[in-house]
Amino acid sequence: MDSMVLEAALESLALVLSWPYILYPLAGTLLAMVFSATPGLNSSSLMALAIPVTYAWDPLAVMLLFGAFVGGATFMGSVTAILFNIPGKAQNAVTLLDGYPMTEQGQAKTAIGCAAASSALGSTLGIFILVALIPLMRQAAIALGPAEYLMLAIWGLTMLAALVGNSVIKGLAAAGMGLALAMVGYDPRTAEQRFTFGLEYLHDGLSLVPVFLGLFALAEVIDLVASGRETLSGRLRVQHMGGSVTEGVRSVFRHFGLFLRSSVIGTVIGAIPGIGSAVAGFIAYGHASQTARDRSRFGHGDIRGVLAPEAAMDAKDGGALIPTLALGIPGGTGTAVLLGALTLHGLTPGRELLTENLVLVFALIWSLFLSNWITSLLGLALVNPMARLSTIRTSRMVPIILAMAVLGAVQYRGQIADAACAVFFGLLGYLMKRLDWSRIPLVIALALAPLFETNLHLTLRLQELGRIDFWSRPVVIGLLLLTIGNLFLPALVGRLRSYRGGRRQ
Amino acid sequence: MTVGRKRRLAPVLPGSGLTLAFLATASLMLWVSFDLSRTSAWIPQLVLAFTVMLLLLQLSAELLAARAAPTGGETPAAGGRGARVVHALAWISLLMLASWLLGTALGSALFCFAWLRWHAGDRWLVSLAIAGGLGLVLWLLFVVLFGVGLYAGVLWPLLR
Repeated sequence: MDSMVLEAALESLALVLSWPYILYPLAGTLLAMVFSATPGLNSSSLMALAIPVTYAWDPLAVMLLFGAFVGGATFMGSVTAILFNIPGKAQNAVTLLDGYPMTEQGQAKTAIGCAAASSALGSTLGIFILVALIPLMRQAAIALGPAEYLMLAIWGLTMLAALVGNSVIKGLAAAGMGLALAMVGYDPRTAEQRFTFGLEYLHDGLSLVPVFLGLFALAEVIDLVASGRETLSGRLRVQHMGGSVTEGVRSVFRHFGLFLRSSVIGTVIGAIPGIGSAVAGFIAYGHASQTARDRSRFGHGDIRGVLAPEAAMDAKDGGALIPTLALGIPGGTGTAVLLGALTLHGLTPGRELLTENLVLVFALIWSLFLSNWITSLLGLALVNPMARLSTIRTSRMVPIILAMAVLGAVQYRGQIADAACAVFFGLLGYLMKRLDWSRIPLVIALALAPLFETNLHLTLRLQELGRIDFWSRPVVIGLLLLTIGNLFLPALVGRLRSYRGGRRQ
Repeated sequence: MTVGRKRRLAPVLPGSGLTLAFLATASLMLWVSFDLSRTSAWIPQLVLAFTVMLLLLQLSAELLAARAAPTGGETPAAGGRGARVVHALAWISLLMLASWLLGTALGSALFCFAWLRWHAGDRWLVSLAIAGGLGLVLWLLFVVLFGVGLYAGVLWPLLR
């Protein structure tokens, strides 16, 4: 590791541990834990709600808070999966396959102990890989020019469109809509107004804050009200709290090879834009069951079925920060909102962030590290009260979240029209969710649009002037091939599967 | 004939409504982009033409799938869900109106009280306590802790 990186890491650690900065990861982790155990909420909603509150803060505090939001959210969702057979979030669904049978067998504490240990250790491994790659990421970010950044934006968008949701066409169309919506307002080059339809509100373009609040916070609340669900678990008593936490922690070291492999799977999957925690968890679970000598216990309360997905899902957080920080390409909704928050604070991911603001990058990493450990330790200590959050009546949560979302939208620029914008995107987000349109390509296209548009112009200008030859740049060609692969590979794989299925029949 | 066509299209519309809305928006933006200067227009036109093409493909796929699928009316559960969405939107509108008139802190607290008392059916005291607590927390968080002024609404300046 070069000395500059090491210096930044140590300087950042000293800052994180100093007063009052140490409060931010602590508060962020607690908030993330509460949000992840509360019905209808998730870390993306929390981040969207926090953007307007933190708008006037110094960037270090923002990094620490958001790092804790990223790290503190996963584990509590697994607790409700293990105890109630109801995953806090979709990604935690894999944990219940073996976690809930363990609870039924009176081994809930063992399962939770194992989940907490593999979650904390998995995230630590993911973060180590991220830190080890920082010197490489810096070199890559410095070496890349406008043509490479343009292709990275296109590759990132096609990757998300291909992997998120159930249709490549829908994903690409949503990304197209996101890019188009990002072009509302002044053209940065000519200062000409585009698509404002005479509305003064649109002159500066759509603000990301009300859009994020609408798509993530309000859409979830509308869905929660529409579902008519009263609570997440509906069960007030946690039964079968047998087993031993120590035994659960020990199991991670007993299956250390599986833990290492699952963490690496999680980190690698996290680094690929568009593949969420759920996929990381299921792939790790599949790997655990396929490589086990005795597979008969999987699905019936095998501790390895808790260990592998938990390690992978938390290691993914470190991996997801690699493309976000190095290239400005978020891996999912959480990192997309994080990217939005960074941009609002004048921090540009890539070259600038990794050279001039390396201390801030490490602040985010340290906060992520701390929050994962705090979540696991507090999670173990506060299993019962935290699990009870899932029994809070949704009718009492909804007005508070709605008020926070509308206030957040209005507070950002002091315009009530921003609240209307948030409501519009809330309804759009709800409809997209209900009609199987992934919101991720739309949001990420909104976030990536400036990178796309600026670099498209720069590339064409440089090409015209003869300063670069687009077609002779190996990174560009490589990314172009990957983009083509993104677009056509899913269809080819589908054809191949149906052909094989037809032959078998 | 008309009835048959209606029957065929009826189940398509709820699912394809969003695709149609996206298509209409993208087409309108594409049309409007022709009024822009060439420098400002070409990137949006490139993006929008591509998006319109994709949305047309998606719409035709949805229409074909709906033709192949057996027709069926809206389930009572879906109808109930729709009504609850409209209900939620009405409450959100009330929150916006209250915030616009009375400011975000007081508007939020009043909305919270109204929701808890008349939507959730909580007791007066519980509703008042939660709503008052929310207003107080918002004021403490923004005004006292972060030193950020809250949106004051349009009524208070008029009364002054």
